[in-house]
Amino acid sequence: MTMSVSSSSHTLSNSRGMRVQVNPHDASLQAWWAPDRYGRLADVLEHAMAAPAAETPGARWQCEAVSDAGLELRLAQDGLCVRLRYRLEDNGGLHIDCEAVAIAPARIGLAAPAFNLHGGGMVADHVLRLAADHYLQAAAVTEVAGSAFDFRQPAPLGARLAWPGAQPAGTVGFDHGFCLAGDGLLREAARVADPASGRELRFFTTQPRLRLQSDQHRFSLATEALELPCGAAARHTFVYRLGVQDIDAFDISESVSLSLNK
Amino acid sequence: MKMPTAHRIALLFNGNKIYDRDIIAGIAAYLNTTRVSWDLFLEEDFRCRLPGIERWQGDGIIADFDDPAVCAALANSHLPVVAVGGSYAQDDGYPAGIPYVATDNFKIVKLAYDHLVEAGLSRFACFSLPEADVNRWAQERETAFCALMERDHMRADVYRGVATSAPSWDEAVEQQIAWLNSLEKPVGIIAVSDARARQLLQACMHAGIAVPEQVALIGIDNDPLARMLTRIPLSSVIQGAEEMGRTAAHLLHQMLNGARLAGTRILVPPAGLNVLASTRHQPFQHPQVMQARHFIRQYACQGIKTEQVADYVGVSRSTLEAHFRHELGRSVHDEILHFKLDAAKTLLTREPGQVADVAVRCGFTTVQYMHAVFKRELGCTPREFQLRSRSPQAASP
Repeated sequence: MTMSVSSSSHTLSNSRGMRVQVNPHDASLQAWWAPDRYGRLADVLEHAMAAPAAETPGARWQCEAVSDAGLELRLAQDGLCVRLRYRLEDNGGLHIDCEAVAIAPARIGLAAPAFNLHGGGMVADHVLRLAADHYLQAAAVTEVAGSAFDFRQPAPLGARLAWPGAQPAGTVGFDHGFCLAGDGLLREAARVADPASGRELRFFTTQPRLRLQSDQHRFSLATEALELPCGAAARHTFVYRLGVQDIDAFDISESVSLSLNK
Repeated sequence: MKMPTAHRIALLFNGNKIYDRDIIAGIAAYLNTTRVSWDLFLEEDFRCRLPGIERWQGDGIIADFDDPAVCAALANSHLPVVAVGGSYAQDDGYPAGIPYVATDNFKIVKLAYDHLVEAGLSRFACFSLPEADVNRWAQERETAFCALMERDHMRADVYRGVATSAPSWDEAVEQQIAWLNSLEKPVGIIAVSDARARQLLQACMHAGIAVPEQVALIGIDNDPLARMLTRIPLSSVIQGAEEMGRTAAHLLHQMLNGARLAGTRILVPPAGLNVLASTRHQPFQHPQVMQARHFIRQYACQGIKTEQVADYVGVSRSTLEAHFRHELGRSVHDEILHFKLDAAKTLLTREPGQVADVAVRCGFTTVQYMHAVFKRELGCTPREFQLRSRSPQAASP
């Protein structure tokens, strides 16, 4: 059964009481209610770090609910066709599947959701792990080894920003690109945990790069905008999965070589 | 081609505790992931020996500044020094002019306290250590606890006890029991370390105080040894010790490259919380159910039956069953089975051992029975469970 959606937000839900609100007009995520280690729900989304990408100004999405847990959005405009599918799984994973065909050269950038896993307050003590051996510094690819940007082992965001030279004067967080290990298959690229609530976010992507942005109250993990040459089709899948931290799996004494993409 | 000369770096730590060992592991991890090559100087038993350090011909030192002897010996060192230790509420706790990497004592205690609040407790106490120069960190954790109590308008009940030595063990336990008895229950207690928490847990067992129903207890360090030595798995705050090691190594690396970091102070927050049985508090439980679960938690793996639980509580089997159905919606037998299953899952996850061995250790009468319980409760065999949980970081989204 399908139904068209016209209200100001559409809610996906799974069997474990998790709810995700999608704005059917611009395809952005509005709220994500997820349980902490005590089973208490909180909205872990904040306003996006950057305004929704301006590549598709005034775009009108057509929205169709596929099921309680699924939603399909379509955009056809200026020689660009995009189909975006959201699916909330029982394991807490929100699958986002983006398919695009361009008649003219186009660029698709979706506003990355910004998270605060505690449901409010500071994110400085959130612990990040990234499957990235290199990061981008002034467009140059640089090894993370020996720098504050080496998150191959989990490290707290705030304490890393306190490393000498990690944070350029006048900035309040991360805004860095990272090159991911792996080869186009859907694989785990990042994991962020909040020790206080026990919530953990895992990020899976098919893309080779990731952008980490943060300020005092939120962070976002996003893949780069899709560039489509004339007549090209592209598909990109990514997954945000929210769960509760498994202390053994996030073991800080794990060996150094990271193989998240096994 | 000339090889670059490796810097000679001394690590002054007492590596007999998990915290110090994790810091050293963090330093090693930093070296392994960079091309930095250091010749590390440590005593062969990883203990810190200071005499003569001022005459040592090296290039740099990373040292544990929780030890006042280390502070004194390195106060006027001509070598680059990075200090590692506990954080202080007051600035004058830190050594002057030396870059310092700290474990954030306030955040550690706050994480433990917030957890006890979430677990449903409304009265709190702190089990500390007698005031001494060598455990200023314990006093700092005490101070953090008192600050939180004051913030929330509650009375801060802090007990320091006595320093233990073999002749005074019994006396120390008696005093701990007296203190425990003096507290209004239920109460959540934060111990300043896992070692301290283990002692208090033992006192609770001696005095027949139910954990976590009457006393919910949390330690600091997530020390596997402390967990192994307690019958009731101990909840604990995990310090960011490895990250402290990585940070200290990075600072020294920068200093060896000429950076001046005298005023640098980096506070590392706790890395996580290991929530186990000692704080799985369920408020408003029937006293007989509470007592029964306390008994089951300790002896489930020794093959106890419903009869023995009823005997321990001192009520008839049918009365106890009725209370269990009403309070928990399950039978006493199911509760025992639940604990055995949890214990078996933990063993299968952590150790590569034989399934038959796990069945015996967890009080299952036969392997076939454990097999059947796994199939029914988890939909897989014990072996499948073990393989699944041991496979590296299952990455399927």
